[in-house]
Amino acid sequence: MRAAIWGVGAVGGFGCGIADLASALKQGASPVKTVRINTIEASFDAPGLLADTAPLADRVDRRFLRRTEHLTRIALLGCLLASEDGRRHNAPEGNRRGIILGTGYGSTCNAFDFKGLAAESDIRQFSPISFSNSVHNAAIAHIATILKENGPGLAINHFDMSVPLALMTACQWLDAGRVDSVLVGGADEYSRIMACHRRRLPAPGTPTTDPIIVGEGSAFFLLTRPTDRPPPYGYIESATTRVMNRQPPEPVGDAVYFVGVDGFNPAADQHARRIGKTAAVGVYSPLYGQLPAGTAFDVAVAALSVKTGIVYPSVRGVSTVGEMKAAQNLGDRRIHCVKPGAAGEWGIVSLADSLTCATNGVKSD
Amino acid sequence: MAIKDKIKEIIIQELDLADLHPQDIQDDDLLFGDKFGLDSIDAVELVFQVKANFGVEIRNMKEGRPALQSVNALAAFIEKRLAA
Repeated sequence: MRAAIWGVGAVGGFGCGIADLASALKQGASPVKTVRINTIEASFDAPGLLADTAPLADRVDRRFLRRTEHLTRIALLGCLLASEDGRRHNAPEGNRRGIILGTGYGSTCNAFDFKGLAAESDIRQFSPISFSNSVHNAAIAHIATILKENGPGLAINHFDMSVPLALMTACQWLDAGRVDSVLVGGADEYSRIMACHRRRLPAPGTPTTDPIIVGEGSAFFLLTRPTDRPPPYGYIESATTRVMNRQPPEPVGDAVYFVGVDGFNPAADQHARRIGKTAAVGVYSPLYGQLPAGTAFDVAVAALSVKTGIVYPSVRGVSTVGEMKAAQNLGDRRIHCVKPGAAGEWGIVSLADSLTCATNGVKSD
Repeated sequence: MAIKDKIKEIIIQELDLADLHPQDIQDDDLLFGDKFGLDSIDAVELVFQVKANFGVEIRNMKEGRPALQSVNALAAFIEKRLAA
């Protein structure tokens, strides 16, 4: 179940494109913006790592974007960037392309914006355009239409497991010969509900405070079956979710671990601290923020690491027990992107370059 | 704000025609002709927006078809209902 990575597209608080992500990795920070949150109780300003979709204007006719909402635009921009990156690397041509979006929140942010969502409201007071964008598969439908792709399209909602499941499905589609390539990735938009939740956490400086703030964005990948040519970003060896009764996966062999510590699930933090004592651990969530589809960004960082041969220093900034404080050579090590789910499962996406695959004889799931 | 100006604002903002300015919409322009590229989904959204912004309900196709012809027609429809 191995898939070649030919293109990477990412947009988020760090900027737009893989070069901006690489730049943020080197600087160890992303610019934080302010979001005005209005609740029944009060209005307040919350920090956010926000995605700017303005670059779509250079890529897509404005008329086609007219009825798309923010989640669709974020995901569309990620898809376009991955596709452009694939062309730059002369990705294998194919007629059949699938699109898969993993999203934890899906279109719920849009749904919460429905006017008169309160219980006493009348269904006839809902905006039809807002309603149509709240449908589960709306983003993929818009993206497929705009990109003129007529292959299979799928949206996967499984909160933190959405991205591993999306990548696993993409690999299965390629394995089965259902498609020649897949644009697959994760996207989530800024959740004002999570911003409210984080506001109730203890003040900065207290031991339980996690500084990672709410983010949004997308990271997409252009995948194909392995060919004679080595792909620029290596291979996805496996992508899976494992129900492990809340027990984290044990480190195996000489590998690098990117742990999705985003302040939502303490298991991630505990896991990073524990395996950091014996293994190389990177945490990059401060660059993209807290969002269920965050694994997609860790996979993008892993793809960059495979391409450059460099593992970037961890940018978490707190509780750095065992985390990488300086860049390392990747060598022939694999990279495992790991994140816990809310129900005791773990999502694991493993990447390696072609040489590693050949010499280590890595078995796929 | 005058009703016609408000209608133009709704068309630009709620139907997301951000490359248009109010002065680009003439009062007697056909809303659902080639000029603006609006379609039936926009018509349904416009019906919703008229209810939300003016409290005026366009109840069926018989009312909607003439009322949604132009800014002039829609403004006249709204004024008539508000006066009733």
